[in-house]
Amino acid sequence: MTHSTNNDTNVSAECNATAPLFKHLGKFAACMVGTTTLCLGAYFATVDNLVEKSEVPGTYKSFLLKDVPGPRIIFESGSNSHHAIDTKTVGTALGMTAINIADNAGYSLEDKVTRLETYTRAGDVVVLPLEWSFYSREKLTDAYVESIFSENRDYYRSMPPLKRLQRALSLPPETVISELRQSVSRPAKETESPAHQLFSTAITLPSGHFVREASIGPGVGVADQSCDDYILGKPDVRKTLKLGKNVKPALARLKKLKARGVDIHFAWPVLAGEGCMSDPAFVKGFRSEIETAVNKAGFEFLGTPSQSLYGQNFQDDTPYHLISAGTDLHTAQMIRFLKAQGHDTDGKPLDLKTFARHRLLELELAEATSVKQPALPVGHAIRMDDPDFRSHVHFSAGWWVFEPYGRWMRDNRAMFQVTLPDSLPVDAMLEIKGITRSRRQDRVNISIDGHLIASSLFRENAPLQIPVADLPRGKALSIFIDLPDAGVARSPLDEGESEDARSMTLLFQSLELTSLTDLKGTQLSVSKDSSIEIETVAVSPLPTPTALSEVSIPPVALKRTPYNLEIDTPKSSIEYGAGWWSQETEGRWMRNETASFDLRVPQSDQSSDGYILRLVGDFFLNKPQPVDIMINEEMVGSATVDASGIISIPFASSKVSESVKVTVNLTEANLISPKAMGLSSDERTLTYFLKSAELQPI
Amino acid sequence: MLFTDPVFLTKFLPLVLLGFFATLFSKTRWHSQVLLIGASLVFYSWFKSEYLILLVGSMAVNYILAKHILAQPGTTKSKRILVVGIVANLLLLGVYKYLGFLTVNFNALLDVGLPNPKLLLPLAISFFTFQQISYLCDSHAGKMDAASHNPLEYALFVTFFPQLIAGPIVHHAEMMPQFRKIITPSERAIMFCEGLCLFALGLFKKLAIADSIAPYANQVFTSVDSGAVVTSVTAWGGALTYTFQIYFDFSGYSDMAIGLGLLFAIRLPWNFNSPYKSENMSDFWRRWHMTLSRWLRDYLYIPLGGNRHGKLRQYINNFATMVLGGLWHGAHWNFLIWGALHGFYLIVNQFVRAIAKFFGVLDIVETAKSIRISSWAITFLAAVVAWVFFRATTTSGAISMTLSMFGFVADGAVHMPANLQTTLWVTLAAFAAFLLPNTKEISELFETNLLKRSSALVSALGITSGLAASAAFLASLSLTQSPFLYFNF
Repeated sequence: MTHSTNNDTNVSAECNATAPLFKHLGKFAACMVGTTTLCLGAYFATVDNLVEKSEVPGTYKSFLLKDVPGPRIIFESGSNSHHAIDTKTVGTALGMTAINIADNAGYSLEDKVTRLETYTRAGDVVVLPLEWSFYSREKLTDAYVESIFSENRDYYRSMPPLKRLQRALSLPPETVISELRQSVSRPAKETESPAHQLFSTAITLPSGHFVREASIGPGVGVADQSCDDYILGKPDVRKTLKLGKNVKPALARLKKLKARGVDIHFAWPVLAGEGCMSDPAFVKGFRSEIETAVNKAGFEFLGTPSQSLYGQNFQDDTPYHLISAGTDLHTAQMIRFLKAQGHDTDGKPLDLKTFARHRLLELELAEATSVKQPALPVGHAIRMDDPDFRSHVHFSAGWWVFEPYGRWMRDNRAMFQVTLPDSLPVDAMLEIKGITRSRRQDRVNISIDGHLIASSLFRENAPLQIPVADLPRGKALSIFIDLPDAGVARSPLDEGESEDARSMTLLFQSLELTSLTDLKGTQLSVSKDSSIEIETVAVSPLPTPTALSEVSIPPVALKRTPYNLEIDTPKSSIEYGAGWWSQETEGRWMRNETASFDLRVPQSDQSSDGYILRLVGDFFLNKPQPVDIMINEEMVGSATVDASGIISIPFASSKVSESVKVTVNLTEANLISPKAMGLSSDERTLTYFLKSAELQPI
Repeated sequence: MLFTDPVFLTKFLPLVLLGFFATLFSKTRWHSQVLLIGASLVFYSWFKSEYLILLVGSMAVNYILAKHILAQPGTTKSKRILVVGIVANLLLLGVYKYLGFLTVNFNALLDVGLPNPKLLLPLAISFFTFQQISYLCDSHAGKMDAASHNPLEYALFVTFFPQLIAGPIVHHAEMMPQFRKIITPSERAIMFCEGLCLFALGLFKKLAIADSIAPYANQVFTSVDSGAVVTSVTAWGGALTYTFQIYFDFSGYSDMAIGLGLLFAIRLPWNFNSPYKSENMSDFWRRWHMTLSRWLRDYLYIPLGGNRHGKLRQYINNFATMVLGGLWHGAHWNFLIWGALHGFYLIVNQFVRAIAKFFGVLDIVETAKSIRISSWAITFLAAVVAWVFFRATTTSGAISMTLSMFGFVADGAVHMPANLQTTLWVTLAAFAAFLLPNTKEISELFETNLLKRSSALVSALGITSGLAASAAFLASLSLTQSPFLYFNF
């Protein structure tokens, strides 16, 4: 039996001229290496372009790490420290600014180290209460990979080019393709201020730490398994737990960081629950492997695992998450540990809320570059709820998100961008209507592209008028609004009016490009008000702007805080029942077709022969429709909106006592949200907005 | 360490290659042989170092036995030693691979309550055992030269890491001479580039194609194995997907192994030659896992009598060979059924051919286009049906799936549609398996064109290899990777 080898071609016989042969082989190798380099290079370029770029960080925690000046105490890990370390208390106790940048235990250890390398400075103190999974997991998790393109872009952007290349070439193609597909089908850029969400977090969680007073109950998979199973995996998995191959290189990098003057401490993650840490892996084996590696790299652990163990009554939704009572205990212990390490100064921590307010606006301004937008129409008032004109105004910096009746300035400064049309009347004015939160008049300075253009007093019925005839046309103008005398911006929560913690100053309601001649004819009421003073600063030709790049604003999920101002509807007259959204400046939205409220009737009016109920409000779709009214659960009739926007319905006095229950039923309601209409990210279904209700005796 | 592991690709292979090229400066050959044996043992022990002793022990015993056989080949004494050697090898294989299976079935049949040994199968035992049995047999048959029997070459023949874990099952006659062959630098350069090309194509077949379609096959087979009844469409979908998965997985692995061999100037035998283009089952087995087929033919079918004792005996021999070949893959009734099915297919094929020959229409059968297409379709579908038994982990699951494929579907059968990605990959896989040239043909094209100095084609092959390597690399980033299927055997 003979066995021939494959490819029996007599190679050697024909390989006489070796030089051309090697030339061909070289060509083969060059083509192969070149193609591979080209393909992988293209992949890297694709990923690099898909990961959002912005001056404004993707998360508030990234902002804290990147922008808060040092020296700082930085807590970095997954969500367990997000819950477990009250950084405000730590900062106060140790006299240093303390920030909590702990985010998610599913994120990459290497990338966490990279961002520390990039953003920490000599004098910073880093505490790492890393969750157990950080010590064993080597692969990237799906959640992290998917988020790296948007909210976690700062992890990627913090990397030096080589690490960025490595990270890009570690992302699975299916995720990249899916991201590419989304980026193609993504709607046009939003016109929101990119830091509004970070600003919101700055107000509620200024140092980055999360507070939950009471447990929300066990999360997914928590109740079905023991604490140890949840933390370390099932017994067969726990048995094989060992230090990940990525841990020692990460420790070596941290060691270098320490040599640069950053003090680094390890700590154990908190655990709360029955039966936690009963597995030997917590006391020997895996734990001792971790401890040995950390100690070998020249670091010490603050405390022991058992000192980070708390009872079931301190558990929030998972054994890794503490409620605030547990946080207080753990924070106090951490303060003791850090004091013992010599981190105790007489300094004063930075007021992070104030810092964030200013710095976030600066970042938004830095991000705001020239936008391409349609020119403003002349003679058309652009209301904030007009979907056809949303793209005409770019709210570049200092604004909260769109609401049906306008858009609030977050603080005393904000900027928006508009483009003037090529042809304008010689006396063209840009008129801005709105209200101040205080309802008093406030001075407003308007600068355009860095030049003060106008300074006036502003309030409701006294719009801002900006002369624009001499300004450049056909390009976006950056209009900066400054309220120099408004003082510290306050929120409805500060004023005890509602739970809405957003600070707000001026509600921008509409904008119109018009001429002075038209204004004189239509706004007599304004000029009659002697308190209003309009100063126009001489408009000088604006300098040519420096090279500007395209504005890139990340899509940010909108999370609205309930807005509960009750200005127009005194608490004494209306008590809202079922079917309403929370209070807004001028009233409340109905959720769907039916809603009710109780209306108090003053004693003096209770003896009348009959009554007329008057409802003042607007329909969301701007399409008036018949309304059925029930008084005290009895149908009293159907009415339509009159020319002045009022619904009036008479009814007999027999139905009235101290209060009446009014039920409003919209017979042709169309349940739709601003989001569904493409107006904003507001997902609430809105039908009728009730501004006021009045019961008039006949 | 798998061929696709980053540690293999970035550390082990470059280091071994560097070491290997360094040894080429040496005037003696044993330096490179020692280096490759050492690297192979490290490669093997990376999986489970405990079984390294087993591998080394098996090699040592077989080497000594072969030495004694070669001292007096063909004699009664050497025959006795050969029998001892074969029994020892089969015993080793039997203990580790079949003892548990036999115990379970004994207990089920006789209710004797024997303890199940539950031994972990040493990696590659089926492969290195077969290779050594063939060495002993050929030593006895006088096909070996006693002078060429030396420990280093023998150890390298058994352990050479590209083929150690999952084949191709090499034969000493094709390996040993290569250890001694003088290779010119230009030959070595051609082999190196050809190796790179094959390795890249193998990586692509495994990581991009096989692993992309594996999740759907796994989903369907896991369902039927857990007792679910699936619809006909799902059953065919699952079976077809697995049909392509196993081909691209195993042939991809084989291509990588052959490519790696070429980097070290060793040509391993081809293992696949477009099996799904076969027009009958005999042809299929000449194209599928060719080195196993060859081994079974030479060391089982022919010793059993082959076709030398009449048609009936030939059928029996064929059937027995295929059943044992099935069992070689693992100790499970499903492998036995898979082997039996293929045995049956071969008998039917030979029977039909015999009838055609009897009526003098064999030429027509072999040349008429419509008959050829029908034969190809029947052969492919027969292979698909058999794969169900190969893949399913329970016999009931395999039967249920087969019944579903033929329309015997109970009410409430589960329909599991494949996603678009799987459908596209399966379509691409089918296109490649049915219509594109296979890696053997590409390799031949490579050599031919290098020799002809066809610059454009060489560049095109370079670009193809680069594309394949890039695609394989990107596919390897996928969060779901499947192990090589033939590592189980």
